[in-house]
Amino acid sequence: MQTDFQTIATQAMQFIMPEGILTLFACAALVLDVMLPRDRKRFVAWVSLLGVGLAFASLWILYTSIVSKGTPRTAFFDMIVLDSYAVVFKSIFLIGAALSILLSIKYLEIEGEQRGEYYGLILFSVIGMMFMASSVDLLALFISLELMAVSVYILVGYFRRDKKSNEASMKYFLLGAFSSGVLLYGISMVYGLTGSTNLAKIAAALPIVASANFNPFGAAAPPDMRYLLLMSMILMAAGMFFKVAAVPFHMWAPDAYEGAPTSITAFMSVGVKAASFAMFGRLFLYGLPDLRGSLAGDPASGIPSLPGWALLLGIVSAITIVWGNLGALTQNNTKRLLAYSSISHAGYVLLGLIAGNQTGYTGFVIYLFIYTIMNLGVFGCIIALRRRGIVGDRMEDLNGLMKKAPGLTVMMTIFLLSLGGIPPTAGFIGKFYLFAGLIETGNPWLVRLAILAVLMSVVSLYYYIRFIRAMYIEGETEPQPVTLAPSLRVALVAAAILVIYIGVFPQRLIDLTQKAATSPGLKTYSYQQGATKPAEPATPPPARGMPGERDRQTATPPR
Amino acid sequence: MLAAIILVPLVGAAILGLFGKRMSERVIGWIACSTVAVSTILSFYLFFEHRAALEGGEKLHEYLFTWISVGTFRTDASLLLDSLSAIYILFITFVGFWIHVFATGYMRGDKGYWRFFAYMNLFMFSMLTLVLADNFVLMFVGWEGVGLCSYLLIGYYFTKDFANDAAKKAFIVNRIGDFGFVLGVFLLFSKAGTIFYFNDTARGIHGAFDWAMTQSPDPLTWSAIFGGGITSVAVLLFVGAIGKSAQLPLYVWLPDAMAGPTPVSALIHAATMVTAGVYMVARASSIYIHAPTAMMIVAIIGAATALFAATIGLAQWDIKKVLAYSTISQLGYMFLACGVGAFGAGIFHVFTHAFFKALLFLGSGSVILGMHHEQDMRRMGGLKKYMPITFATMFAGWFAISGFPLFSGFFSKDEILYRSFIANGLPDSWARILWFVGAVTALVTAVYMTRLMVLTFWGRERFSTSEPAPGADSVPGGHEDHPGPPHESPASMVLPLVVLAAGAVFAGYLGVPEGLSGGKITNYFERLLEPSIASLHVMEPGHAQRTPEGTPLETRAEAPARMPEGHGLERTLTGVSILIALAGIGIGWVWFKRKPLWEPPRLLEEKYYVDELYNATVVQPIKVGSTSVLWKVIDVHIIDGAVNGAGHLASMLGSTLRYLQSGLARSYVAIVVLGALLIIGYFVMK
Amino acid sequence: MQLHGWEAALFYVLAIMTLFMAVFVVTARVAVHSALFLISTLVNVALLFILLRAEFVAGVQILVYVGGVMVLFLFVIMLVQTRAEEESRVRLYTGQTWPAVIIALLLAGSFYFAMSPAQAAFRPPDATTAIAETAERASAGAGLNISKDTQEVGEQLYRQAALPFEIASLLLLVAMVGAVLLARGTKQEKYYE
Repeated sequence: MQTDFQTIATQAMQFIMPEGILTLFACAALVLDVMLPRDRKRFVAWVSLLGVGLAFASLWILYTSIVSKGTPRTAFFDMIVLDSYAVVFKSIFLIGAALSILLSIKYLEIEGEQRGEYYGLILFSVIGMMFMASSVDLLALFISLELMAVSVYILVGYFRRDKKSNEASMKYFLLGAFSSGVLLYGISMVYGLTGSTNLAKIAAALPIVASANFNPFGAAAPPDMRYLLLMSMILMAAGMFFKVAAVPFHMWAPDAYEGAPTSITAFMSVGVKAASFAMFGRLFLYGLPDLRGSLAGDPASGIPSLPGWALLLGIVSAITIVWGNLGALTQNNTKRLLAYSSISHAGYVLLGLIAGNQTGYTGFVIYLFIYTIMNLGVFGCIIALRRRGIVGDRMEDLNGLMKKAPGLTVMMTIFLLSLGGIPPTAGFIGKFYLFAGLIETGNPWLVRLAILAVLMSVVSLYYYIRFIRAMYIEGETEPQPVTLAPSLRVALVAAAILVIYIGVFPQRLIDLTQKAATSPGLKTYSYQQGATKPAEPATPPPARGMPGERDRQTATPPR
Repeated sequence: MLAAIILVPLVGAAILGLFGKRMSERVIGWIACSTVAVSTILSFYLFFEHRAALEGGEKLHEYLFTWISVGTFRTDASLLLDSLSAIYILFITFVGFWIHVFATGYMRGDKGYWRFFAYMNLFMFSMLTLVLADNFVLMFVGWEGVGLCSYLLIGYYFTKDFANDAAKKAFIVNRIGDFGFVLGVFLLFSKAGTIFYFNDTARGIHGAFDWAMTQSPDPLTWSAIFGGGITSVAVLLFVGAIGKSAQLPLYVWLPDAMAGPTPVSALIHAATMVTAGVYMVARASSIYIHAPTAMMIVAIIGAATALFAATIGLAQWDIKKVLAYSTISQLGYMFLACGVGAFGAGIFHVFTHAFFKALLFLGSGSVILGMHHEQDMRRMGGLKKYMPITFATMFAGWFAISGFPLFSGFFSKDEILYRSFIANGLPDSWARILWFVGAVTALVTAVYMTRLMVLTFWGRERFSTSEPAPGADSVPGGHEDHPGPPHESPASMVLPLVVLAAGAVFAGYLGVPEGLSGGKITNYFERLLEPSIASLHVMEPGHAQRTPEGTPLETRAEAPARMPEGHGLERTLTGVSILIALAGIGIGWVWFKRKPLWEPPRLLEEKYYVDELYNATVVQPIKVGSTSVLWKVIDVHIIDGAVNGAGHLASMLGSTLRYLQSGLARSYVAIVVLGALLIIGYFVMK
Repeated sequence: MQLHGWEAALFYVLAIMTLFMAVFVVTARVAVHSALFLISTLVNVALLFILLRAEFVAGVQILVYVGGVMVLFLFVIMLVQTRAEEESRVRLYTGQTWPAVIIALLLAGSFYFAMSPAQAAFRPPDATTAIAETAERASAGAGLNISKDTQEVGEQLYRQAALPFEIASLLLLVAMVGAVLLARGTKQEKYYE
């Protein structure tokens, strides 16, 4: 008992140091808000920024002193793990949060809603996200997800005087609660089937439960658990699809994105999405790796083999990419357009999970990293258009921007081209990895999926170039000048430099993300060799229900 | 150290680009010239520092950082100094420096002074990157960089339509070539698994050229081009060279590129950038010697371009256009040399050509400035008494390019002609045909250059001193167009002319063919290049006899000049060359002294109607196709139709679609559940 | 575990009751009725927990939801009670009703489909073991059982689940802040500043 407690106190606490620092600063933000006079409240923003910075520093210390040294370590009775995967995602959230705070300061001033709760809630949601990235237990995962989600529900409705904001918040809350319910249903079924909430234990139990030999009570007709497993997998996937806004679970996104304060739209579109993907990856890559390929049947006794989540994700990502891009084509509200664009990007990111090889996983992580920066950049530019009396979220508001603010226009162009995946911007590197991962598998269907994704990213160029066209070619419709607040300028310039820097010199980021993509516990799959390569010793394959078998069957012969 | 050579001009470009607008012309000129001067000094220092190593064939790698590393694909930002790149950086920085000096005088009073020099410095950066890169990807960065600078500088007078059109033309035509180049690099990567040039054990890198040396040569058949083997690689790379070095059929951009300021024409479109194609072919020599079909294509295209462009040059009235066609023609010579396996001779010609062609361009610039922006030779004449120094220096350039004995062009051109005459491995009498084409070109070259000189410097003064010349092609902005007699240019312009003239006269002595001197003067140039150009070294056959057709390739690209029995033939051919040069100069002198304004055949004056041909066969069909098919049918009917139709559909199915995104939370829930149901249905019922 | 005998009967009764009460929560026209139906749903669920021998969870369910949350609900509803005629105007049955019913049935059907092949994995209806178990529990005494469960839950909650527990505390804090933030009127805000 005593030693247990000491372990928790001395060792595990340092594992959650970044989160702890953020908690302190989040509470401080709430308290400071009460103490500061109305015109000094922007001070809270700088305090929160300091908190994010300190959290980043402590994360970096953890990374250099522990994570980069060796095997990942778990804490709190295997609730959380500290590995490269978690570290990279946490740094994504912190960068996203820092940029979002910088974007918000001037914007809230204009809206007359400068209050400390705003920054406190952002920090709370980041705490949730960070736990989502490092949790390896269904319980901790779900609670952190809710912490993030509840904070964001409130932030979406932060402009109480704005009906649209209220409505968006309400809708997002109702649907979010519903999807959390669906997710929880899946989680409870998995718990019921495997008897554990720990992802590693679940992963170990799954092949046993799915196998044909599984017959605990010696029934004459052995039970077929695969349908139930699939059912729970689908319910969990549905919950996650909702959070990342994948079709057909995306319906909330355009409404919520449009109604939310623009700075929160920016934060949601990157932070919530990246965190949900981090959890998605944890759940499916660490928890359910054996449901990935197909669950082999037994043709002799007429038991059909069942497809796994790779197929589910493949179908959903194909639909998402197509739907998101086509939906964006006809939008006139920039926030709504970017909502559809972010839906399509969720589809792209899924490709990394589908590919299942190291390149794909690298693409999965690196794309989220890059997407965070470039999407925040675009939203920052839109925030810059918010002036007295102008909301700045219509396409026309961009007209003739080149003449009014050439620097802003050039940065916006960089971000848009990056979203479109044009070299030498960072977006190209991300897309390159995602598509290369798919093509590397050599599976004809996945190659077709990659081709579809490439084609649809060409379509996406059409609406990104609509922005550029408006900025450069159209005459200005609004005489009011555009000025950049210093904080916004810092955020935008930093983002633009990062986008170009990563685009031209991607190697450092690639090294970092490759570490995340090779974190222990992540299984990679190779269609060509037809064998699974577990990073940790797997349970011996039973006669039925291992994905590798099916993969071997569908493998294309090596050239 | 190598990195500094590249980066100093970049720093200059950055300073000028960011702050140049507020600087005085003097400061801008100083910055621009001093950065290039630093590169020049560093290049010379490095060359003499490592001279012994370079002569010994050592390759000095300088690793900066790993750029991208994905699976087996790896690209570094790393540089390579061997004798080939050393020669290139020496003359690029040297000639580049003097052209910068010239430009400080030539561009005086121009509004975009800072912009001009920022681009020029950026060009130096890109060109040096291209040459010093140790892999194809970094080379491509430089390759595109020089293309970009070329585009920017051709369109420098961006208020003029013809300059914009010319810039666009150069850009688009070059893209066609680049497409081939990129495909070539892709194919090379898929074959060799690397895009580096040479093995570097320190970094554990395999080189594509070392890979190529282990391959057996492809057969000499046309089908090898499409075989996807090493011949395909070589041909695709050569497509890139065709675009960049303005060879048939993609040469059309270079004459129009004269719309840029004259120093640009001298630096980019004569001395350095256009020779990048030759550099690349010579660099990839170990690939080419394994692809005899590609070599033959290189030789044929080179020879054809040489003659073709020379005849057009005969009939141009614009002094810069004559020089532009002359450049194309000389580039053809260089490719001819590469195509017959004499890569060293090709590079030697690049080297001498850089001096005399830069000189001729700068001289023409001096003339143009002295004539108050008159480029039409019909309105010149008798200028030697007005511009004595310009005349004297251009005289040297004239003799050099015509191949007058003991001038630099004589040695390099003679080497090329001799090597194509003795080229073996080519079927039938191709070697003789190539030599003959080269010889005729030499004659035509001498004639048109004499014409240029006669029209410009001798004869009646055909200009009026009172009125400013109309229809001037290139008008540097602030230069006052005061009427008056032609005048000599300022010292900042004359000095570079003198230096380059010295180069044009003496550069050839670095590579006197051994056959001529009988071995008394070492052919230093060839000896230096030998280790860098794989073919010459590895393919040493040990015997000089020409072998019958169809023999293995190894016996082909040898150096019989070193053999005593070859000296007789070489001397004979040299005699023929001298006769040709003298005959050309004589014909030009007699003919054009008498009839300076002789109207050449229209076919030549109109450049064989190639522009019109391209316009009719490529540009117009695309235009018509894009307006009548793409725009009127596809865009209006299909795309707009689809968009309108989608809108129509949307309003028709409005209730359904709006139902989907109705804004009602409960219908969203319904859709979510429905979606989940569909998925479950698909999975469970399967 | 499969139920048998009176336990099975009780289960089906309770389950059906729960379902119906839940439907009534949605269809009731008067808000107070809805709340009352919700209370009975929650009580039914608590009874189901007892059937599962999860007495502690059942107790918590009653204490927290029925005793705490629902009482607050009722207070709020009664305080802001709107007039009855307004409520009668709310359209409960729209065109979406039947699609919703069909979707719900399909969902239930697919669950059944997934569940049925897995039947054999659950403990078979073996009367002897069940009776033995019941006897064992009866002899051990009901009170002891509850305390033992509670102890287990406590240990799980404060040892294994210490971290989620702490995160949950943050979650509650956020919920509280959010409630204050969203519910606070403009006037109140001005007053405090």
